[in-house]
Amino acid sequence: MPTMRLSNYIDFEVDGRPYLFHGLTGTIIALDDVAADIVSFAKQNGERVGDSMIFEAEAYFGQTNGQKNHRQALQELVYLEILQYEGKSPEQGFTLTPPAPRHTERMPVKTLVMHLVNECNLRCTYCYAGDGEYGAPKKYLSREVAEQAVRFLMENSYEEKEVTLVLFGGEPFLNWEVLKHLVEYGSEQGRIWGKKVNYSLTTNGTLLSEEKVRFLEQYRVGVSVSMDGTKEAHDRHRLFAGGQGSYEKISRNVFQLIEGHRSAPVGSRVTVSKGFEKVEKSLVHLLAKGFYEVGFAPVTETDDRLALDEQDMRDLLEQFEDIADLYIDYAVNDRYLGFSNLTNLLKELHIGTNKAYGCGAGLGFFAVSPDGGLYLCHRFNEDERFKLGDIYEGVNRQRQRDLLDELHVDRKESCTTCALKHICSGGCYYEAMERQGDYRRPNAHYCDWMHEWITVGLVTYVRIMEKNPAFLDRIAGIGKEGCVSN
Amino acid sequence: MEHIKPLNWKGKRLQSRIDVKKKPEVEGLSLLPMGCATLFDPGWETDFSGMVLDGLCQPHYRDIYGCYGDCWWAAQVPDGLTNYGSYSDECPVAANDWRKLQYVKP
Repeated sequence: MPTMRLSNYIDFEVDGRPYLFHGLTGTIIALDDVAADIVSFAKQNGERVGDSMIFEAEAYFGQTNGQKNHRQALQELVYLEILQYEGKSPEQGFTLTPPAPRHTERMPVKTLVMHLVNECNLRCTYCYAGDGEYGAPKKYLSREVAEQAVRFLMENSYEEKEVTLVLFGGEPFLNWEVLKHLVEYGSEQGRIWGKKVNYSLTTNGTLLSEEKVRFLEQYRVGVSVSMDGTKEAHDRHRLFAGGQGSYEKISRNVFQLIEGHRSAPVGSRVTVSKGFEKVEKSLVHLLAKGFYEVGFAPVTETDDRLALDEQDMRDLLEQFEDIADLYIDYAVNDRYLGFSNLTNLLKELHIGTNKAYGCGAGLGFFAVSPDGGLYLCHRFNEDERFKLGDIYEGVNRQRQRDLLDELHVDRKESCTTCALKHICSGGCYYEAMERQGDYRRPNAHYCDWMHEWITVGLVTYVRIMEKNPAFLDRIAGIGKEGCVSN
Repeated sequence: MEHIKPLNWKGKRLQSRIDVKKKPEVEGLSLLPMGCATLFDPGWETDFSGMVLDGLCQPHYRDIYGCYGDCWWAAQVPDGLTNYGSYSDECPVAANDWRKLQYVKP
């Protein structure tokens, strides 16, 4: 009798019924008593390696007298490759991690994050860009560089029919004339090349005006406004250079934006830092302003005065869990609560994401600095170690390949037995550099938290699946034909 | 599946692939046509190695109409000058009806 591995799993219960998430295949299954018995046997008698349990099938059958239904349940878990024979690759390869690209020569560039300016008119206390400067002297993207970036994108996206330009900064509206030109030129080139150009913009919302809102509406620019919740919470950190709070000004502008901009979603992004406001309070407050969605992200910081400690993270999780309950109430009644952290997680769980990289950085996604350099992502902007060519000479394909080799989840040893291997894939490279001291390391500081958060997501998933499965298809963009559209 | 039930989209997809595996069904190969046969032409799947086409050269394969037309076949084959005009009457659409194709035995 062989040794078996119940691999990369999270087991959980909903109303006393057992379920299991298998991280390598991305499958969520309901277990009957027999299958649940196998899982609990493995947990009690097996040897634990990460999120995997290794056990002897013989011992299991000894205990169950080799009953037929136990054998069958075991076989079913083997069919789905949730259970594997040690030392033997599963037949169908459902569990395989997509390998690092062997060559990157014609890998299409799909998204460019444009640093319109590396300056900001706010002086948020927690900003990773160091007063919006990214450690470099003030630079503005010029019309020429903007045009070249668009041409670069058109040429280097090869056969891709859709490309994306992210309008980013600093505060992108500090370079309004070029922003406008970039979008107009992008759309013109899109028509010539037969490509759809999507735009999204991240702004602090202080510089919006009627003219700008009209423009955003016209070009269907998706907008994300950084706000931290109520006035009190917001004005603690998001200050003008003179030290006064920015809430009132932004609120007025957001009102105008949401009234005048109906062609693309307008969302909000909250930075969660030490002493944060109750998440539900921020969420309700911001949704009441008319935002379609609100996303929450912990600040990337090492300074204790700003960074979240373990207790803060526990509080955050509990609060997320409370909102998940609210989310379920909405979803079963076919309504949408714009808590984007959970929506994004549910999408991934539904589709059964299988990714080898924490994000698209360096694959089809690059940041463009004001002088036309290509960087791994916007958070590594102007950091020469992460420069991957420029928009004139193109992507440095050798460097790209080397970096993708280094960043692949299979290079992160502790991830190999993790249930979240294909969904977290080690997490953010910048976070890893800040918190782990090396961009190649997994985000070990979030491992436990991610496990718990994804378990919250799994319970939420099952509860919605029971009452309104169509909701999950809809948020995941799966149509009647079973096609994934996003 | 009696003891476990896939719930999410991915799980259901994997399950459908396993069910196919358990009840074998002949399928057109999704690889590109090799040799002179197009995807749904019967016969060529008996030798889809892409390397050795000896199976297709056996006399009883030579009537298969996949070898007819603008293909590389070195010599004219019987289906190019067929005397068996009715061999595909019951098979108007090869992709659907190929099981009904009649073999012509020399």
